[in-house]
Amino acid sequence: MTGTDKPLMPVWVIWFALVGASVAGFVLAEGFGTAHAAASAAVLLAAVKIHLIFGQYMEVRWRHQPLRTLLAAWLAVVSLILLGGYWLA
Amino acid sequence: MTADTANAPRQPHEGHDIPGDSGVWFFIIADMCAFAVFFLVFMAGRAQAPQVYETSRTMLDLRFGLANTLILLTSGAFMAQAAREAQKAQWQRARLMMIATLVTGLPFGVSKAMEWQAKLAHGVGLTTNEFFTYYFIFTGVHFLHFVIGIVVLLVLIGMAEKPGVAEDKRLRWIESGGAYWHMVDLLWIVLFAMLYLMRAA
Repeated sequence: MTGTDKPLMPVWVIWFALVGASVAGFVLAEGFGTAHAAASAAVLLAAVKIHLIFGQYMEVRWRHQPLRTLLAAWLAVVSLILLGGYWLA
Repeated sequence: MTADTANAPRQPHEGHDIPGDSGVWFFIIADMCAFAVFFLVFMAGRAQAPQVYETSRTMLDLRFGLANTLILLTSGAFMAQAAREAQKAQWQRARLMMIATLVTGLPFGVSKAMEWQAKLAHGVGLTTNEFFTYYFIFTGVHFLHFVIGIVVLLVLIGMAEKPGVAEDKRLRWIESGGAYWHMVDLLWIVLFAMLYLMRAA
């Protein structure tokens, strides 16, 4: 078994991770930590969540390399837009 | 199907290694690129007037944003399970999971309507300022995607156990519908971070 054909993780394990990351982003936005750190963390948490959804729910992690590359590039560009736009303001 | 084959690890489907239909994936990628342009336009506007955007952001109710996120994540988990059941040819369980996807996803529409209603009741609308123009347009376009997703789910639930449909075709439809539903989910994740969570100093 290679690194790309490992079995998918149970759906509800992923769900717990996604919910945990969402609640963490919410707590940060409510005033915990400095604004810059909280905003950056919110974007990074969103990126992690989307990466999990791509790989575990959409199941592109172990399939079709061009599609995986395209989705990874989209996520990188969107994260850059959000972080770049925020820090340049 | 024996218990062994039913629980066998999933393998890429013979003949195609994209989950679902390549045409649907083309649409998904194009749609995600269109939303990336939305995000760019919003962040460019935010960079020009950070205080206006921050003041407007604080007028949003974060609890609605979090609730909508949790609703879509839960619904998406059921959809992912539906696709996994379909890959094992467990069509009845796949159908049940898609019904659960629908039932747990529908509150998103109710919550979104309540949030918009609350904003409009306070005199905040599309023309209030640039932030709210983008807020209503982006969440409105996203909501349209959600409605389309609901229709797709209803169709998939109807055909999940329909006799006469080839299993491979059925699987591809469910995987395609699942990919679309997850796209609705992940676009909301970005909108939630961008509109609700990015507070300015």
